[in-house]
Amino acid sequence: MAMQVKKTLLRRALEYKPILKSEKLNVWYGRVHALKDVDVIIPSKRITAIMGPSGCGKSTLLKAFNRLLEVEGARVEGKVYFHDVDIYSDSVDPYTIRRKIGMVFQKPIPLPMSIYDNVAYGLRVNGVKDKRLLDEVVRENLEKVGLWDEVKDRLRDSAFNLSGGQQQRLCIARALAVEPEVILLDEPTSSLDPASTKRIEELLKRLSGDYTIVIVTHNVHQAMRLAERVVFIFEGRIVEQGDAEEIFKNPRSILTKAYIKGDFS
Amino acid sequence: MRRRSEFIAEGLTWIASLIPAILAGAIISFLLFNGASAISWRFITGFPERGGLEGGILPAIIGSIYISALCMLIAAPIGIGAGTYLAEYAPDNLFTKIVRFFVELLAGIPSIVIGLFGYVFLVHGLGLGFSILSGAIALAFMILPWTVRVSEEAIRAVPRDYRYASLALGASKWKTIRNVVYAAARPAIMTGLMLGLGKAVGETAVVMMTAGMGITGYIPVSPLDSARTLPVHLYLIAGEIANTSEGLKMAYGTALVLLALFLMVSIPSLMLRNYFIRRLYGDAG
Amino acid sequence: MRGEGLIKTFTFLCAGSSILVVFLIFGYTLSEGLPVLMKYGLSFLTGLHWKPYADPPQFGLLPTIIGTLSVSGLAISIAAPIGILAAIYLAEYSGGGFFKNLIEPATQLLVSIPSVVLGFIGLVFLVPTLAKIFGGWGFSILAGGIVLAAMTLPHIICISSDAIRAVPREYRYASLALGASKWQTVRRVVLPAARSGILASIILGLGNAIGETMAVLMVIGNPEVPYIPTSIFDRVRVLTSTIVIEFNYAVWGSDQMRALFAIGVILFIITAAVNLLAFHILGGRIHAKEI
Ligand SMILES: Nc1ncnc2c1ncn2[C@@H]1O[C@H](COP(=O)(O)OP(=O)(O)OP(=O)(O)O)[C@@H](O)[C@H]1O
Ligand SMILES: [Mg+2]
Repeated sequence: MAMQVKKTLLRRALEYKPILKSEKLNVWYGRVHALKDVDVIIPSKRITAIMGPSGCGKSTLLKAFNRLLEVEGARVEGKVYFHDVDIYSDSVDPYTIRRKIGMVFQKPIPLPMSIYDNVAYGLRVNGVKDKRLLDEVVRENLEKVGLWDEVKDRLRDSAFNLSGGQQQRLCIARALAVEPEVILLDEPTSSLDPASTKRIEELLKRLSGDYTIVIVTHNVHQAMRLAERVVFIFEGRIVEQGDAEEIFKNPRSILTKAYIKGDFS
Repeated sequence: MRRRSEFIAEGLTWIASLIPAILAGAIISFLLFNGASAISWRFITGFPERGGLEGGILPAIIGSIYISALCMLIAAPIGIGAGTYLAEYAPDNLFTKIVRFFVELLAGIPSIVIGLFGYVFLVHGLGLGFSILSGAIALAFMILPWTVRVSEEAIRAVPRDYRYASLALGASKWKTIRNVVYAAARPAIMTGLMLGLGKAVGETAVVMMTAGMGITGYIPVSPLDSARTLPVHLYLIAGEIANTSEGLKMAYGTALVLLALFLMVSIPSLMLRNYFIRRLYGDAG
Repeated sequence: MRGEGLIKTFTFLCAGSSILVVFLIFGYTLSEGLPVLMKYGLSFLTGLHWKPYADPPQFGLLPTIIGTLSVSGLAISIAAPIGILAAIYLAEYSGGGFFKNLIEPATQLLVSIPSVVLGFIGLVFLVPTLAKIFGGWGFSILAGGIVLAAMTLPHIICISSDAIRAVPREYRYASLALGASKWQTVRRVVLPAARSGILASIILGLGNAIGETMAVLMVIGNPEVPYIPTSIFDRVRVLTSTIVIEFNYAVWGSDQMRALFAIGVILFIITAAVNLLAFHILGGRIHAKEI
């Protein structure tokens, strides 16, 4: 009983100490109103899953977090706080934000260069030239994602020679190499086989002690396995967000209930 | 630091992208400025006197139009036929690949080589002499690849659905191509061919070596008549500028008329083309 | 259904006609040029003296070949950097706005201005201007290089901007998401990925430059006796200009006329090699964008 109370208190505390928070966030692609008045809270050093039917705005929300939306020419209104800074205010440099908030995409996207250069890329564009430091960072991050032993003898090979699962882990290592605080993952396992998926899920669990992880997924079971917090979006609006266990056990909205039962996809 | 290099990079690329437009604009205004005073009724409708240093350029204007039109008459049907084959019938095999390569190769052959060939094959071999016909055939060889490519691209761009709709109504393949595909591709093909015509009008080396360059005091009538076209006329009187001062004005005038003839063909087709492409296929086109 | 078959055969023959035409061109040019190539052998390419009226006539093409390479080389070294920068702007920065709708047709227009008009403007404007600035006649490698640069620039822009646009958008996102700036992304990811297309545009530009006739002819001075140039202010002959100039005086059937055809054969082989290379690099659709 005491345990239970303690756990709930801890959760409460987490909710009040968000690392990312949006207020009245609205996004338009031309005339398409993709996000509507979104208020969302992402707790620090936990895994948050974003769920909802196809086209509801999940990827859009992720890209709002690292200002990748402006590259696509979307119009953004409202506020997104990272710690306590509004990342859309004029004084904020989008490059710094994107370094602090890393992103991994649905399809693994190795850049057209070697395995080594992929991991070193983020540091290099931030001005790091020291070879020893780069070697060290590449090794450390490839070890973190469990890829080091598989690729240590062919670091100079093209990254395209890796399998799909290996490529995705490489992309995670690449994101980790610039020492982000948050990692956004957009359906990172949907193009992978079950074995690779399992490895990535284990990896994310391991990383969640040190990083804030936001993952978009269609897979209810994956969300149950990983997430401590879930956010449900329907047609650009948040319908429910909160503690994962609670919501999966006892969803308040009919839409969420139907989604969990598998009526949407 | 980073902000500044961003700014410099965008600025430099921006300036570079302006250069072709500035060049085109400068060339056209330069000729307008210097050539306008040479243009007169007599210049357009008169015959050349004193080797082109005086008088008009009517025979060269007619010669240019005659040769380019005849050239189009030869190159357009073959080009459309070949484009149809490549877009509609060609299987994905070695022969098709070879055809494509040869189309590209032909497009890359310098016009001077086509001129040489026209001279042995048409002027001497077939005994057509220096004539409008020789010039038109040689020019047709030169713009054939262009006509093939514009036709193929235009036909390929017609949405699949149109074809299915027609085939589903029981139309045969050729009927579908003729009634549906050509109809949809026509604007793009026509404007593409017009641009090809512009190329033919402006070509010098090929025509010089096959249609002759003798100055003619008469309007060419028969396709076996020899003719001097505007570009050839411009080249030849430009060569005289060093020796006499009178030629310069005539040269400017000729260049301006040539450019005007060429722009009358090219600018509307460029504009219509972009318009059609955008209307049919959105901005992706 | 016989009509269907007939149509298909007709279009097939049309498509095949390009092959026939290329063979005709090569066959006839070669058969005229071969006797001279056989008679003079390698010295046709390496000889220093081109004296068709001497007795016995001499046909040494080396100064002309060097002239050709220096004019085209200069043209490419002017046009390639400008062209690639412009292609980057059009593909990466311009968006789809008014500016792009102005620049692209203007670029297409420049491609199609008749080369004799460009040559004429070179003759009446560029050559005197160069003469004023640098002294001398103004007719020079420099003048030829500038005029040719204007001619090859639009081709380089078209093909490289196409190659840059073909780089998957995801690469850009992946790079930006790591905190790279736009220019860093272009330089480190997009350009390397578009490398082969850009290279092809330069190779094709060089091929175009070597084969171009009228525009260069009118500004390079074409010395009576070609010599090996030692500076960019020297007058030179190029392969194509030699053909045009001597064509008027050469007698049909003479060695001089045959030598001109032999030059034609060399030009043919150079352009075939260039196009084969570009065809290989670009996978078959060289000029699709230029239409
Ligand atoms: N670049 C864009 N331009 C125009 N509309 C866009 C763009 N990207 C997304 N949209 C639209 O915005 C809405 C939300 O898209 P988003 O990609 O965020 O959905 P999603 O929830 O990630 O879907 P999925 O599960 O299929 O990935 C959709 O209606 C989509 O069509
Ligand atoms: Mg998505």
